[in-house]
Amino acid sequence: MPSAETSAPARPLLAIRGLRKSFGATEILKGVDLDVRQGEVVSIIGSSGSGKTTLLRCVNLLEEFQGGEVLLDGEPVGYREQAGRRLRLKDRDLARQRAQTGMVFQSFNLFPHLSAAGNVMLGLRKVKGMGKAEARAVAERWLARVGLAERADHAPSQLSGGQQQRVAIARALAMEPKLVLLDEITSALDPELVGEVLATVKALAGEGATLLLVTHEMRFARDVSNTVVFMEKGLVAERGPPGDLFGNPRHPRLIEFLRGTRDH
Amino acid sequence: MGYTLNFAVVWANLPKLLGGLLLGLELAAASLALGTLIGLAGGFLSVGASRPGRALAATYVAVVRNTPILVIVLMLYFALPDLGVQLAKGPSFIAALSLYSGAYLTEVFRAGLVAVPPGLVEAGKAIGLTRFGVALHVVGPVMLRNVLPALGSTFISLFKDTSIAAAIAVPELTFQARRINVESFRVVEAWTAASALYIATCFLIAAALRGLERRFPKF
Ligand SMILES: Nc1ncnc2c1ncn2[C@@H]1O[C@H](COP(=O)(O)OP(=O)(O)OP(=O)(O)O)[C@@H](O)[C@H]1O
Ligand SMILES: [Mg+2]
Repeated sequence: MPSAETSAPARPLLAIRGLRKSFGATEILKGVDLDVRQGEVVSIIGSSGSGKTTLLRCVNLLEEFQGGEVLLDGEPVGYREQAGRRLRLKDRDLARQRAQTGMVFQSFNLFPHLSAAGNVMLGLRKVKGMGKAEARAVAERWLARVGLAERADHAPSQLSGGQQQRVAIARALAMEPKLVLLDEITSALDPELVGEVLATVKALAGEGATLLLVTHEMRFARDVSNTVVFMEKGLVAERGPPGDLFGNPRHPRLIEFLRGTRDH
Repeated sequence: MGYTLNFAVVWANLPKLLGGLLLGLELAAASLALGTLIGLAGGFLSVGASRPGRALAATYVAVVRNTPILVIVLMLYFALPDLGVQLAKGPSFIAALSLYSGAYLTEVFRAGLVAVPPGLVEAGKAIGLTRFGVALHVVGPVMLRNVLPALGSTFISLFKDTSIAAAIAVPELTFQARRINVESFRVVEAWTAASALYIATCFLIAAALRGLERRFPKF
């Protein structure tokens, strides 16, 4: 384990080192290295099947991985080393680590039996142990920040897709995670609802949230990111500031990929 | 020849019939409550990660579903005492009906659990809930809403099944009707009254359940 030194200021908030992940015999992630610094916004782009979703799910411990490590704020997540053997953490420890990252899904995944406020409050109450009144106040504050103050008591089924996704963003951010993972959060939305969700994410980025996101919206990636990462066949093929990556792509597959996305 | 209907004996015994009806409802409610606990345990086991757990749930369901309910009732009441467990009639019948309904409810809950979208489980994990927390706060409530109609029809079935308690002389409605029958020879009146009471009660329960389902709308 390389990085247990005292927190040097340069240490990235998230450090992914040589991450390997297979489904059965098929290796999907083949040694991914990726850093995300505190307050940074990193966008992952890449063709379908390149492993973007799998990478985010490994970071949030929704998938097990077979090699390499993921360090969040210096702490290895998901596994511990014992007598040279790599052991998956217990459920309780996984839950504690997951609480430090937020995740927003493509398909919203709001809890259908709870109101918008109830969705935001569940983690505050049951994970953070907040009282009802305090959790409600925090939830209302976050719903207001995503522009849904008036919708606190609506059921998810009474909200538009864009509104549901903004509730999901509030639900993730209310937990005050160190890092937020967003996986193609506008892909399931009607085109006219995409803008409101992207504007919300952009505002959060402006307020200093640390974001690792996967997107097919190249304009958005260019606008919002400090760093863009191009994934190809389970590896990071190219990374850099959006100006370089979009303005002067070097990897032949990236050039081809960008040509493909400009068409629509 | 010719049977003249005379319902006077029914009216005279109405308090006993209604008392039997009420007892049947109580037996059904208690069995539903216990059966739900068993069914929840069985349902979660049957979709769980533990292989022995899944085997246990499957065996329980298979054994109970292939045993006639009357046999379960008689076994618990007459055979258990020989094994050192002595239950009074009412509790013994409730135990039998709970065991019986628990098997059916295991299947109901299993189907309900399978129908909960996996994305909800992941969303629950993502905010930092433990597996138990996800089951309690996310999967459980969503599943229960989905199986509410099935729970309702199970309750109606259980209520009708309480008539089997007459076999061990629990004084519910069927037992009372048979008593009238034996004491007064008003065979038709006694059984007509019992049937009418069963039918009317089932209709009322069904209507109440529809109201309940409206109170908790589908997502
Ligand atoms: N649960 C799974 N079991 C088996 N294979 C999987 C599983 N999940 C993903 N894969 C495979 O892993 C590969 C990478 O999938 P992943 O979803 O990470 O790609 P992606 O880059 O997010 O693609 P997209 O842009 O289409 O979302 C794909 O080939 C996919 O078929
Ligand atoms: Mg994906």
